[in-house]
Amino acid sequence: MRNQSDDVLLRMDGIVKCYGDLVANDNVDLHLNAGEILAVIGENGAGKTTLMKILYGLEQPESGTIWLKGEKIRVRDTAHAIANGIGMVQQHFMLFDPFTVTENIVYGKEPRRGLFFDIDGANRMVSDLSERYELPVNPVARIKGMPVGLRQRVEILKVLYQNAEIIIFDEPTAVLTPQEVNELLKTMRQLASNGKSIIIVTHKLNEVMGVADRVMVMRNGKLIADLPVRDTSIEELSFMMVGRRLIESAIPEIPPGKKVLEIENLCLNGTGSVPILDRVSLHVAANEIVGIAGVSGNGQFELVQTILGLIEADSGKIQVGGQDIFNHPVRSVRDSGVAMIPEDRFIWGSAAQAMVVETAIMGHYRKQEFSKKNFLQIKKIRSFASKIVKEFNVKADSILQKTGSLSGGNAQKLIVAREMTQQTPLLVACEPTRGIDIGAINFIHDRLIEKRSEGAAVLLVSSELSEILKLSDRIYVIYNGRINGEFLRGKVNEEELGLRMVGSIKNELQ
Amino acid sequence: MNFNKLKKNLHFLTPLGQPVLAIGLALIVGAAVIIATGESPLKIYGIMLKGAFGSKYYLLTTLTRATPIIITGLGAAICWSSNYMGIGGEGQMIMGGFVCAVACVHLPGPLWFKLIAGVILALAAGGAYSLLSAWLLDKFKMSLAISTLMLNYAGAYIAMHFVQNVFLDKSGDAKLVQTQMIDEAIQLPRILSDQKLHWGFGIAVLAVAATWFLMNRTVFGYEARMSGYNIDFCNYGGISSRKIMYSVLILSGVICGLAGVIEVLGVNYRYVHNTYVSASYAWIGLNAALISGYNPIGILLTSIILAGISTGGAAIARSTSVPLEISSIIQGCITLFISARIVIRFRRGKKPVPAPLNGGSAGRIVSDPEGGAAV
Ligand SMILES: Nc1ncnc2c1ncn2[C@@H]1O[C@H](COP(=O)(O)OP(=O)(O)OP(=O)(O)O)[C@@H](O)[C@H]1O
Ligand SMILES: [Mg+2]
Repeated sequence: MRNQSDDVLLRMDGIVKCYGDLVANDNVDLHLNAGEILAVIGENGAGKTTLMKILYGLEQPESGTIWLKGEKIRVRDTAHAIANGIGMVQQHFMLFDPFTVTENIVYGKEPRRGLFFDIDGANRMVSDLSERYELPVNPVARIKGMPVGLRQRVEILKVLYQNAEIIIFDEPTAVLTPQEVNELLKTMRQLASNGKSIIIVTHKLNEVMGVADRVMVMRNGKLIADLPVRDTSIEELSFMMVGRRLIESAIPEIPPGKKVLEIENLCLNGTGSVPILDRVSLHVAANEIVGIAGVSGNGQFELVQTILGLIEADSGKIQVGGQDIFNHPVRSVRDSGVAMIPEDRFIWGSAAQAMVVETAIMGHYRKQEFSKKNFLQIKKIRSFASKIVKEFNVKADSILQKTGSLSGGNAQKLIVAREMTQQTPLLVACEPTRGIDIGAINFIHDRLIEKRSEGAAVLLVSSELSEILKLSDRIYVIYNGRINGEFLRGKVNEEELGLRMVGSIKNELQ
Repeated sequence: MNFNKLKKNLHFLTPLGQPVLAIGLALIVGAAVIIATGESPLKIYGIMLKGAFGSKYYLLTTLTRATPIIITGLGAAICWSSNYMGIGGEGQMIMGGFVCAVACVHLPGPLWFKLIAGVILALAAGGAYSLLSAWLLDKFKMSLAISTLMLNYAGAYIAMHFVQNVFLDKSGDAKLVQTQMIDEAIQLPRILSDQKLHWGFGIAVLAVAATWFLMNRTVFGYEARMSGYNIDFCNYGGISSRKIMYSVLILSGVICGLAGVIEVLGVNYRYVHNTYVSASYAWIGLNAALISGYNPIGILLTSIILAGISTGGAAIARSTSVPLEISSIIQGCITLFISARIVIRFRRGKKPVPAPLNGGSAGRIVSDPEGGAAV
């Protein structure tokens, strides 16, 4: 083990937090030792984020106490948390794009020379910090255009600059590429060996096993287990989280039917020197799940946004069911039989202020069942929303609740439910299980397979290679905006896919 | 805990919290001013209450005054709830009133034709005037707040110019800048024969119901509301944000135009220069919309309260030494306390929200579709 000492740095005792009738945290205890990495896991809506928000001063508990270094404290707000050495790397990074790395890091606590902002001093401090913790960044680079992994590194440096002793990460790996995940886990170990204490909330049990010293399991707002990682296993943890054993269902073999989505020589030039999409051709047939494997940032999201009509492409052909939809407006693309799970639940997938029932019909509200002659069928809409909420096990108090008050994973489930329950011939699913707990992932995978077996065509874009390999009947690899290989199920291993995804093996044909 | 239980039970009242707080605070400030003038706040507020709602006459006067406030409030609510913060209600109301007054006198043909054509033209004028701002925003990214504000001034002077030089009523007291009176047969009838209150108030109540229905029960209302929440979400769902922008702004202009029409047909029976501006109907209407969080039924109630503060203020000025301005002070404070919330919301909206992971554009601003207009 590392130089982890057993003196308790932080203790949260009997934390209770309610939202209306819902008890989000029910008498939860947490303790954290100096130099320790603690993982917090649990189903969607178990109350993990709520507990972290309380620690970071974003929410006030109904009751319970927080002890820091043996002293009782009340964390009134985030400034107070920071002053007490508690920092949090937010899941949605709060960086100002037009500014530089340094400016973002020192924002709120700028070094001064006389009355003026000491930019050189600040840059130096950031360089020092970056060297000390082995987190390389260029202090004068601007945030705009940076990949997510690098943005996250800036966030971590910001927390370190604020002198945090305790660093909270809420689902930090959900949006990272596998490479970036490895680097982050390494960074965490590095920080812990430097004496920092770390709390990580995650749904990925291999990360727990790989990085944490101790793991806390939550269910329904309660703490149900707290044990050292070396005494447990992925199987045991997953059983504790979900409360049952997960069964992998078999995928029935069905020959693909007629082509539903056909894309030919699709080009999107973008503003840079290299095109974003370069002569992409692919197709998805009925009864088929087609996966797109790629490191994020290689054009896969632009590809689906072009299909849906959110981005105008420069040339090429896109057809759905034989009907041309190339550069058509979103509405006519959807009308031609397309449903889409977007990659980001709070940017594209929902509106935080909209009610659950309002989020549940977006993109489909013009259909017969929801509106007649421009009048909403409120009763039918409500019963539909209640139905999908129940079916997909979205943990919500009421369908009139604001979408933003759902836990991250439950909001994701709601969006997945909305797009999957429409009987469209084509479903485009981007990162469908991002932020979702392992039990629900299993459920959604089963539903995707079922949908495909019933005759739908599914285009799956995911940065989880295991998800692509498990579900896809056929796989395309995308690299630098080009299709770099096509494989049938079982005809490729993870290794080759990985090499093609980073361009180490190239398609000779292109 | 007992307090928590209470909080839970009163949960449904939370949307009322903000307006009640704002009005309460404003009354406290008003009380301080009254004390400064050497009067007792309790006595003055008593007179005010009586002067606003205390008798049939006062109540009906207040409702008459509330009518244009309600309607312009609805107009404001329609565009503000989609996050298009237009403040051009006054200009649009002027256009509606002016066009209606002129058309009802000068159009050829029978009276019924003058009336119908006049109303239609007036509503179109209000809509077109708002369309101008929408177009400036769409084509030149001109801030909606600025263009609508400027067009308010322009509207007042355009109307004045034409009244003075073309349509001036020379029959009566020549000092007033006003058009000729419309025929009695096409004036809005009164609800009670001996009182001021006219059927325009009934139209306003109908407009409240219609707006509620439009916003909550129609596809258009759903689309408009969602665009107020998150534009990317709407684009993804197939809603054309440009179409929504034009429709809500035009509709809001038409509704504010209606407020002018009703003032002409029900109160002044002509267009009189400066009446809408000096009574600041449209501004109080905007206030009512903000206070009630764009809820039409809330707008109806708050408009009546705000109108009551004005008529009550007049009663104080008549019978005590406290000046008329007391009602302006109270209303001003309500605006202030309500806009404090707006500012907070606006500043929060300015926080960068992470851009889509792939996309080039970054740091998008969530609650401000018009691209950085000032409030
Ligand atoms: N502001 C709020 N208003 C009402 N309910 C809320 C609010 N915030 C959270 N909740 C509820 O509290 C419960 C716990 O939410 P929390 O975000 O802590 O879950 P979580 O464990 O982080 O889940 P996930 O894995 O999906 O992120 C959820 O059922 C959620 O709906
Ligand atoms: Mg969470």
